[in-house]
Amino acid sequence: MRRALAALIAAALLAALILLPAPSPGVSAPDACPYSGGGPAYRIQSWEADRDRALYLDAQRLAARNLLFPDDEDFALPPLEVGLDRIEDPTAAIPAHILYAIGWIESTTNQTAADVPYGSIGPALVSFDCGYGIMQVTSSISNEGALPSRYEALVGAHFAYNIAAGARILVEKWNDDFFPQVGTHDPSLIESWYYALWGYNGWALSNHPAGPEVDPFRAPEYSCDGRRNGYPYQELVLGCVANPPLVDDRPLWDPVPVALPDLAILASPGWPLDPDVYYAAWNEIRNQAGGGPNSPFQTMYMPISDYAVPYAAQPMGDAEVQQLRRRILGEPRLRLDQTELDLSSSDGAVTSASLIIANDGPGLLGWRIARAPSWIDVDIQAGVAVGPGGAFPDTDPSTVTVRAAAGGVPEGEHIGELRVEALLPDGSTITRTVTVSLNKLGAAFYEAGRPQS
Amino acid sequence: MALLTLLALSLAACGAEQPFPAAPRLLASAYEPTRSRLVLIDPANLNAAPTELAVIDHAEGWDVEGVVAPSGDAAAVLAVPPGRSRPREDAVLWLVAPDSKRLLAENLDLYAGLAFADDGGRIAVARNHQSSSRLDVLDTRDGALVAAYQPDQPLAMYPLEIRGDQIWAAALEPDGWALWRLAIGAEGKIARDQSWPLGRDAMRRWTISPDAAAVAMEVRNGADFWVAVHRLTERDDAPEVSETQDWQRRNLRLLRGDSDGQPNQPIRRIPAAAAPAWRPDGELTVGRWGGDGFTLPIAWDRDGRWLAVAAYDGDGPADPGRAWTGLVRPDRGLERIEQADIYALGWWRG
Repeated sequence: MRRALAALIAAALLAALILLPAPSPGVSAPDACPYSGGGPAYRIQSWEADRDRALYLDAQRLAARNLLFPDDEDFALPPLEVGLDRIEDPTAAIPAHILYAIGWIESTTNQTAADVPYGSIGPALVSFDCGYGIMQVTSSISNEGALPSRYEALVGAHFAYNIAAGARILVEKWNDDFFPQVGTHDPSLIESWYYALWGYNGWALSNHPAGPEVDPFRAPEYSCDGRRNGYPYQELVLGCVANPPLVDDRPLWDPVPVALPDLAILASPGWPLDPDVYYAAWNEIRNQAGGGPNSPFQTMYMPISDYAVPYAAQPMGDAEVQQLRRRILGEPRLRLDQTELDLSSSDGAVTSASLIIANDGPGLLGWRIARAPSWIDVDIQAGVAVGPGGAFPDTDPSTVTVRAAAGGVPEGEHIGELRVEALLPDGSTITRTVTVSLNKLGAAFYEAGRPQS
Repeated sequence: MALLTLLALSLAACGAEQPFPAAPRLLASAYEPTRSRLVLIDPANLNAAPTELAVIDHAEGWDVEGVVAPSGDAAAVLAVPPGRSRPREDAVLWLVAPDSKRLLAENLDLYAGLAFADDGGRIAVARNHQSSSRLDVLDTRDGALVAAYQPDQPLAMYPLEIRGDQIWAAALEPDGWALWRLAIGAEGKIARDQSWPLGRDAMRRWTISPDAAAVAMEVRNGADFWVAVHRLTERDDAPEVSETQDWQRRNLRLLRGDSDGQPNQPIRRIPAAAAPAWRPDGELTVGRWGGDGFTLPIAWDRDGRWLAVAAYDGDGPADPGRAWTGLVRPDRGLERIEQADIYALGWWRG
């Protein structure tokens, strides 16, 4: 019976596959997020800094030391676990160069989609699997079809939160004893981050440096302006640390030498980077009913290279930190002049209306639509409004188009509340409510799945 | 009337208006950080400026991967589009011809490879996503889905060839690699017809022999590389392996035929070798090392005269040194394509 049911499901699945429509031309935003809820990608607008990425690199320097949002429970960096005993050390930091390089590999250090000009607002960068922004954050983003949470809105809309979220995910990999350690698990050695970086991109065979999906004849050290094909992710990042990209003929950061694992030894049979050791660990996980006390991947423990030297972090005094934070985060202030939106025009047709979300303070004001009646659609669910002064030269408010949603609403008059939430750098929120009214006249206005006007 | 014919012949023979003569040319990607130019290189005149076929914009750093259609006058190219960054999930498929460039599909695996049907009318692609995977056969006219195969659990699948209604594909199963033969049935249904388990150590370079009697694959275990040849038929008339030529220069080696062997056991194991490539007449070429510099085959032209290679200045996989693209001439001489960042995709005719 079970087999028959399975066959039926398989047949239905196959039929569904065969009936899939042909792909549409053009590369569009993803319409579903298969790994994070299955709903559509959030419609988030973000701001792209200048081409020199200086603001982003400063934010990465702060994020590496938990100096961006130390008191924000969603974006603070957890203490790094250090040493083979994994003792929490609140003073330990990520080498900032690792965050620089991740940003470049993930997104060319861009927060918005490719066609958004530098220094302006536009759709956030969203990958096929719904990775958002500079650090291509997918974790903790649900995409289940509802409105974005504060975390989701800020990760997609504001570069600093995106960077902080990426740094946090990396530290979670570093602290997770599922992943093997390198040397004495010393975060000041860039080489120690090899497995955490592999985990950041998914602990997949495709990133195994001696696995079947990399080019065994690749040049040993990746150069950040070079062709990426054939390299595992962690080698791309570490290669970028040592060989930074050129922007307008200038390296984006100072190079830091990195000693990569010697695969001639470490990938030999029985050694940590032998793919059979990796396969065996996965098999152990598959065959283990309750799970053992240690991760089977600890068999991939790897000694640190003799050539590894501690990372020389750029010193930053309190005054510089505060100055950088002010520059990056500013003091945004919400201005929302509208209190009502009417979607019914005088001739009875259904229209759209614009909602202007402005920022009267310096910096980027993150905002989200926190609540909306089911009978309206908004074209942007979260975004940033650019305020005057600071590192953001042009003031640019957010303009949200509000439309009546098709179907599902009976004829007649409807009144509801649109709740806009301003997300401030100190972690607080300010909420404003806009009353939305709609007079729905009849099905004729809603033909073909959308309102007719 | 005779004069008119003569005039027409003269115009046709002028050459300047003939951008795609019949001689085979190498289709290559001229990589740049955010775009790749598809260029045609005349093997007999490597110093001539290549003909540009198309430009494919791509995400920073991700060069295109592609194959030439059996007809030799079109190519299918996978690229990670600008603004995307996940090569295993974000690649799009372009069909490129001298006068057109069409987008056929999205959300593909850049590394999975492509396989044209014999007539060029269909192409097999793979979607190797973490949560689900699917092998699709698309109509090359419009990208419409012709048939699809979805395994019970997500696997990495690599389409190798479509021959008639059979698809050959390599698959990375939980217990190791397998070669699959899939059958396209009525109404686009695909079923797995046969599977050969071939161990864990295989790399991505697999190639089916022209007569579909054998598969050659690159295998790696630690620092050891070899090429394994497995027999795919039960026939007993296969000749013994014999080395017909040993090209001392840069260690290219040509092997002929296959031999008896047990199913799923290699009938031939060629040590310190990689990158197998079948010549159309059934000979197998592999790259070997052991001296200064080495060369790995990429593709033979349809007549088996020219061979595109990736050449390295180092002494083996542990130290490959600088890489460049070259051509082995019909007289077995090796020539270097001087242009930097050129990567061979296949041989173009038409």
